Amino acid sequence: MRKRALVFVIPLLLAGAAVAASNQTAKADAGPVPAPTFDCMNCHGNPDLTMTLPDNETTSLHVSATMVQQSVHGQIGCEGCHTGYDFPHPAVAAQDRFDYEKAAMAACQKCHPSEVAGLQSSIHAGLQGMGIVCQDCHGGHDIQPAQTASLRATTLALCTGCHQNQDLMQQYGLSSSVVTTYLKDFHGRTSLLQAEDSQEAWINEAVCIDCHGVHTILSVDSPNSQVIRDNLTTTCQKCHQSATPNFPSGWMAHYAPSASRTPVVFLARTFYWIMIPFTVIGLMIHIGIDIRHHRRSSKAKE
Amino acid sequence: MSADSTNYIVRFSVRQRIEHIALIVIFTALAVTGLLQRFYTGWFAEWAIVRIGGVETVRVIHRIFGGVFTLALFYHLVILTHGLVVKHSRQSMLLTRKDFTDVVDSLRYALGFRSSRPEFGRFNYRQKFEYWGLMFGSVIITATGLILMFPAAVTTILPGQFVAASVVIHGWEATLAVLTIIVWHFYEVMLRPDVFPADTSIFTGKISKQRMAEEHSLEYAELVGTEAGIEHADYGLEETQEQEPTAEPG
Repeated sequence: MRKRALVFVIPLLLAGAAVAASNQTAKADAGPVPAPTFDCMNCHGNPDLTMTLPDNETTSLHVSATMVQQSVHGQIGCEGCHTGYDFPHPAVAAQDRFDYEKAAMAACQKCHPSEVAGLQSSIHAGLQGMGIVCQDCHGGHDIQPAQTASLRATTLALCTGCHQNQDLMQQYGLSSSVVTTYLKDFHGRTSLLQAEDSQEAWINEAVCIDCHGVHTILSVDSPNSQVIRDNLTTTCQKCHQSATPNFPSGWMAHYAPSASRTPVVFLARTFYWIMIPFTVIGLMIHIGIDIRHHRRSSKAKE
Repeated sequence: MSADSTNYIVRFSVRQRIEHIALIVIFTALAVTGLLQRFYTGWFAEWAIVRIGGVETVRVIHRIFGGVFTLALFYHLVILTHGLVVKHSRQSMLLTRKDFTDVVDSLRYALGFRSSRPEFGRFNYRQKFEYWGLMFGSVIITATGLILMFPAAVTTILPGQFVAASVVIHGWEATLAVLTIIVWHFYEVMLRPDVFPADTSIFTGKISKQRMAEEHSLEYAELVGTEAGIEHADYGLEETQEQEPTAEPG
């Protein structure tokens, strides 16, 4: 459970915390309601409102009405998601925050059943004691439209949150260098630069989800994975329409150049690693000898 | 080429001068837009890419100039072939055995192990090796650049690994080229004490008879012998001898 805390990327922190508990009366407006109306914001507008779960983790129950109103769900009101909350609230059954958030996914399922089903069939659903919930990637009260350029631009940060964490990845026998190798290859290099240029422009390079899938991400060992060799040409063709079966091996598949896996690349790199210092140092020595000679001869002339 | 009573010789034709200026422009544009992508993690890269107008703009500029460079290379190869096959002009850039011994002899001379400096023809070993480095580099970088531009078409014939290798080769070959220009070419044509602050002959086409006699003595001797007659030859050689002490080691 401690490990789970590492999963959170900043916007999600807010989200996970805020999905938390409580609803009050059946009043639909998420915005501040004039006193003395008793509604959700009467309590949840209080920045100091917290809840302690059985595992002793204390989480904020404060909800920013502005944040909710600016989100894609701004019009559906608190009880659009938080159903079954009478007042006083029923006791919290969840043992920890993950339990809590997993239960909260039932709210998403009401309107987005296929996405939730996809997630539940994915490798990310069945991880021991954790897994990914909707809010991890989409946020909670600040949820934004899924097709926006800015959400796409944050894809790398979302996946990196876990996949660059060596301790976490070791538990699953996964490499934590997938992000680094991606960034060194053509897709990663350009998408990083595009994301730096602007969060508003659509990244037209492949990001994690373009190859691995979105909700239905499978293990790279699964026969149905989009990224195993048998399926890779089809995956590449999503962007490179004329890709042939030779095409996918143009991508280094998250590996650094090695003599066994990619001998041509390895040889090319080794050649330049020797050739460049050899040439540049050689030329500098030549220049050094030249200048020394020139100095000596002009001195001799005097 | 003419060697009259003026004190200079026309060394480069207008075509060659234009070719050089075009190469400066194309090479600089490609080096800037390419190295920014190659060394994209540097703070400078991010700063510069944003100012150029984003990575997409940088890529478009790089590809346009890449296309122009490919055409220029092709043009140069046509000129070479024409010179070789039709005009039967002298192939003064071809490497000979002498160029390799000249490297050793020049260094021995500069280090004081040899009393006389090797004599050079139209192009000395430095210019020839740089030219051939540029030529081979151009072919490599054009080929890999085209592979990177058309990966799907290329992999209908070649294994995909050549695309991955092209990324590596294209970037490192460019790095080598830029380092060679900065370290060697800038020294050779600007910072070198004999020509400081700049050797302008590739822009004006002209070289002084004095420098010609010092740096391209074989060509100069041939020139004055065949075209300009004995009196010019004497003039040139005397001048050469007067200047000789500067080149003699202490």
